[in-house]
Amino acid sequence: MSYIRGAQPFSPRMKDRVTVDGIMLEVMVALLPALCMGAYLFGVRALVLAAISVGSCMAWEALYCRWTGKPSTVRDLSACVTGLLLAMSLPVTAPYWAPVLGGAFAIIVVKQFYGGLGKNFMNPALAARMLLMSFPGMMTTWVDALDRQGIFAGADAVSSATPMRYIHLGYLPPLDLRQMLLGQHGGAVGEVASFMLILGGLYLLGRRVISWRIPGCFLGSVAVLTFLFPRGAAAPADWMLYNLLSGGLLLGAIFMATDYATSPVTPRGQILYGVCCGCLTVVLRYFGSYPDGAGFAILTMNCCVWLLDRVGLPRRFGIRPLSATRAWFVRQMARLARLRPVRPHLDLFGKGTVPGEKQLDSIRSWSRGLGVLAAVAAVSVVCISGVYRFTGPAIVYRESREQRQLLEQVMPAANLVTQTPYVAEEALSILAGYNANELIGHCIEVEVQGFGGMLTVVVGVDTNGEVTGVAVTEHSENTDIGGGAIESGYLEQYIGKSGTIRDQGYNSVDAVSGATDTCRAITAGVNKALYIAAQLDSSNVEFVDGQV
Amino acid sequence: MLHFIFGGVHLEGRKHGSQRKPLALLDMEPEEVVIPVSMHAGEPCQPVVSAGQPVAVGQPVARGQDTVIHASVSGQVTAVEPRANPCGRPVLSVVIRNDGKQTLWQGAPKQADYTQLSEREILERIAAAGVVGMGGGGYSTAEKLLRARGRANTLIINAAESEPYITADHRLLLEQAEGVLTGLQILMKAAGVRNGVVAVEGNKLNAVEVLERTSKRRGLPCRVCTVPSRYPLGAEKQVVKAVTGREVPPEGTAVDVRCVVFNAATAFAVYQAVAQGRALTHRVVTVTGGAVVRPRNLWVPIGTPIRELICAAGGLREEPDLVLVGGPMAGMTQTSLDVPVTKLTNGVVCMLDWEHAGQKTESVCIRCGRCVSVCPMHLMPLLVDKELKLGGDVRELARLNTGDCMGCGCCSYVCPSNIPLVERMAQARQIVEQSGKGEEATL
Repeated sequence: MSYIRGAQPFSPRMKDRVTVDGIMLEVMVALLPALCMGAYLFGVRALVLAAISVGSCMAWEALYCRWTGKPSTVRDLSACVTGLLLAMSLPVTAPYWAPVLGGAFAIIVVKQFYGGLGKNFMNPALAARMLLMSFPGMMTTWVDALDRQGIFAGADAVSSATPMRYIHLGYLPPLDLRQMLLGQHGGAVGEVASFMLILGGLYLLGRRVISWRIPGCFLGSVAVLTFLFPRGAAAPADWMLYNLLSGGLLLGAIFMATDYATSPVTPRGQILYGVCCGCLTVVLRYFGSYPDGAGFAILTMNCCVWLLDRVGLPRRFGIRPLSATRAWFVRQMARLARLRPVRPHLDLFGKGTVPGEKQLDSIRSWSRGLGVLAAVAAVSVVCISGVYRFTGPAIVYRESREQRQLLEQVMPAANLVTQTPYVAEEALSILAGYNANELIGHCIEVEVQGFGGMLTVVVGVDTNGEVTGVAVTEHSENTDIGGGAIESGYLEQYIGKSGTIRDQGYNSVDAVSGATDTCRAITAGVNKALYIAAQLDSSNVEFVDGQV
Repeated sequence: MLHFIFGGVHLEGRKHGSQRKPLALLDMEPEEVVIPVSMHAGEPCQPVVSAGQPVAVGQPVARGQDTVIHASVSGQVTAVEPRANPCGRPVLSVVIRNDGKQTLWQGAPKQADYTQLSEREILERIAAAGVVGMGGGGYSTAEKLLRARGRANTLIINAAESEPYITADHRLLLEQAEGVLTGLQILMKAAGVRNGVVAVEGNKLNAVEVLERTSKRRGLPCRVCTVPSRYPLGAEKQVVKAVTGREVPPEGTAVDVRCVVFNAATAFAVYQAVAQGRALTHRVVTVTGGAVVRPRNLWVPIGTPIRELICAAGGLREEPDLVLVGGPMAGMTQTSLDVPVTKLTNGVVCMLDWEHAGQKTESVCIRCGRCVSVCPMHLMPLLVDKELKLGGDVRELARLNTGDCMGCGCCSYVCPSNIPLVERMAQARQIVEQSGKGEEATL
């Protein structure tokens, strides 16, 4: 009688109950509260979007397996998780083809082309989201929470500023922490409900699906960095909390950075990965042109996972901590010890037949090398100086012409502009405008945060504190979206205004539709300039170059 | 104070079937015992009896350079021939027909007060009684003591028993605490060690209490250390780490970190050998599992076929799917019920189909990292598996320190993709050993 039924003789006869599809199911369960909250906040369209995303991801997976003749891997539910994550990182107004396209990219290109489950090096959902970000408008139209969208609501929804936008501009969002926790603000379907995401994360931790290392280090390093370096006038603690709760940080840290295939397996590697993700997120939020950096940070670190795994190899059992480092030092010392100092050997009279022949040889070879170097340097100096000589005056001429055009737009009455001794922190430059030796006003150049980057606005303010003209000299706005605001037709509305210009109602200008954010930015710039002009008085005068 | 242990898994104990059952003798003496000549690490012993010769309990039947093997029943040797063995292949064995008289061998040493014996005498008695490491290692205890003399400062009695189902050491501690503690004193004296520790897992707190009470009442100085109930804390390196915080270096033994570890059953065997003059002829075996009618802890003569043990436990309720000698994590699957109990057998587990994992199809690695986080030896089974699938570069495998694997099976236990990682580790270890590149392993 045989008691072996195909069991290998050495493998353990007991087995943990955890399975791949079980893990995926746990992740989906943990995501559900946030998705439900998203559906409550943004309407039933969010659920439809999620269903389409999940369905399309699973369909793409099944189709790919069919096409390539591989056994179907739909049952492991990993495509389901990818679809859910993709849907949760989309705005509710995204068109229905977006998750289908994103799913195709995520499943086929990012996951299956690299060998399927466990072999992809980038998070598929995140990569698909980044692909969809390249469609203008789609990933930047964020409707407000509780502005619920019907199933067929579309792109004509009213966009609102997300908390991430405020943070990117260096301000605290005008929301209290409870609103941030419950997600009562604009944003992606699954990203806004921070409380639900935290709940899901705790569930995953409790079920031991993820370890604390990646999310803990990720969020911890973001918290520390934002606490130490707050921007604007915000209190460090507030700034830290709003940073933690806004944007895709929580969804990314808890659900995307912990994706098994694209995160390190070694404990030390996981800690390093989390810290690097956190630091990159903060750097991208502070200095990047997109408001949120969490997604980019995770994708960047995904590419370094092999390295982190190698760096984080566990210490061998029985070898004391740091002994690897110690061994490395010992090896280096041994290597250094092998270096033998050699006594300098001076051979003034070489071994040639004629005294000094050896030196002649070396001088010849050196001079040949140096000569080539000198020739290259000389030619490039000649080229550069020539180019400068011929183009220099043209540049100067163009600059002066541009300046005259600018002056015409900003302060038409002036015929002379001079430097002023005034200094204001906020202004890039302050010029005084004269008409026949009479001071008529100042041209103030300020910088404000626009929609796509910094805007440089020059505002002419006369001595009565009224705007004589506005010009935008530098901007990185998308001309399709923000272009309308930069044209002179809009800018002329500011002429004659004074005091504080508002966005709406009394003492306001009419915003250009579709460029509300840029209009707001320009208004902010004009207000800043008016404020600076009002502050210009003799007490601020400093002596520059001996003149007043 | 306890020290941090990395890795390991919390297993379902499944010990309630037998943990309250007192030690019992077999209801019926076995008619025939089969005593293999190889029940220890090292060279097999040579039989010193021949067919037809009468033997008494405690009489040596085989001798080797490492240890001695004794008859566990009195009767007549019927054959000296290869017989089935728990390790899977037939081993030369001495078959004795039991006459049921239990005559004791006259040449056995007398009872003695161990405090009066010299260390040399103690070692001689232990060696003559054929005591080997009964936790599974099978090293000769006398030799281990000799090696530890003057080098070790801590002696640990390993009663962790982290395998599921098995309760043999647990019952021994509860009922023979004095014997085990006396064995500890003898071992401490023989090894010249003054610091004695008994390591017990936290799921046996009644044993901890009994040990503490006994050591206080009888004046047997020892420290009882409760270690977390986490498999594989029963492994020597892990016990040393948990109790003293010292890590045994790779390819080293506990003596390298001034520790020496003995199993609780070994300590009891030492007590019997030195204080009572009895050779190692019996041991405690747990007979349990879902297929067994009345799980029990039995005090059985070595060489008894496991069929007799199962009969003593009330027989089988239904046909088991698996019969294991040892625990379900590291035990051996048996094809026959005629295999004998050896000095290293601590349990016979008859599992039904719902109790064991069965054969599951292997799927792809999802890089969840569970195997890394449970490996008590700080290894990376998933990278070893990947390397083997890529062709098995010897240098790369050696860099992953595959030689350190002790085959505890935690990685296979947790793998959600059902990859047989222990086997992969064993395969990799073999590849590295064959190429002789093991010494290139990194720090």
